[in-house]
Amino acid sequence: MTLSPAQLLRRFPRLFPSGQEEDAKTLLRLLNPLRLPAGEVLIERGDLSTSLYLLASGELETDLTESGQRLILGQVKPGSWVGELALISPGTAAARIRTVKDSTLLVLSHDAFSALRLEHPRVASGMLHTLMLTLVERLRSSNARVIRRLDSTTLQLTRPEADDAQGIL
Amino acid sequence: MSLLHTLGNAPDFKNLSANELEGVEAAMTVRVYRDGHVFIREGEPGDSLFLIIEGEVIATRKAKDGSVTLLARMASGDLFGLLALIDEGPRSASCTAMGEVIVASLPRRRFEQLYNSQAAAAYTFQYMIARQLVRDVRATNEALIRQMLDYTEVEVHAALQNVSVEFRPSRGGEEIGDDESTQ
Repeated sequence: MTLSPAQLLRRFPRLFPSGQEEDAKTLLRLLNPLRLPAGEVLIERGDLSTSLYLLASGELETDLTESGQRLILGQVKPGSWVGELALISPGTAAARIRTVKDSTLLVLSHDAFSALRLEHPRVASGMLHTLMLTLVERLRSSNARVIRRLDSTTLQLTRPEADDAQGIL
Repeated sequence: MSLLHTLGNAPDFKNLSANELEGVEAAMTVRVYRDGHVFIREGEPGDSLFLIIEGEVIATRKAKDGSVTLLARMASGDLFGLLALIDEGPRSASCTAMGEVIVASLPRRRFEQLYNSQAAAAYTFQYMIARQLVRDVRATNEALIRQMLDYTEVEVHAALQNVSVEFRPSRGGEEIGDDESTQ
């Protein structure tokens, strides 16, 4: 599957606040397509992660496995993405990401993003703005949850409820 | 110490040209504030970022019972209120002058204007905020995961050691009195 700039713009409108097809064309040149069958691990917890993965089709799942326990953190649907932390500053992945359906991803590496920031700063800045808004939203909710638990005098050391798992990746 | 000097010494700004630094400087307002001035009030929507030029500012959080805990002491070169430039969400701590301080502020509106007048400086500033945001999200993720996996409270705290002041947990901090005494 090869996307045209117009299709990229339609599939990921939030990445292009300008709404210009020209910007999608610029980004498209830096994206590498990656096809994975269902059941493959895209990123393992603890791996060095350096790219943003835009999900064009298929489905991903993020999970956390430790001491034989597996917690499912969430699903990623087409039109969404994972790896924005790694794109901005490469680091260790906090959770595992697997394909649960045959998937097509568009990969933007940190290095390619650095080149975009130099050569097309307006396009990079528009993308970055959207990524930052989603990060802030996540930071506020997960931080409030961590602090609420730490600050409550009766700290409950129980297994998490389902909503605790949202927003890790 | 001047704003330009403080900005020039901040590692995040080292890639800015002298010209761009001056653009950032021009967008900021430098003022002397009296002891006890509250820059940011917990729970209220924020609009500005602050950079300490001289003096000390403390970050505190109020517990439900009215007790106030010290989260951090900040000095020259420290930034606070970063997220106000991204969204208009509520502040998660209060920041108060300890003694007379010189602080530069950058309201969101002026930051947005910077994109037109000094685009390169604005992009650098934006990326600096993005990286700080990533550090905070990673620390919070790690703390959340430790809580989910039943780590001890000390280990959860350890994960949040270097998070931005606004996102530090109160517990473990130094209690500095009740609500009334800090108003």
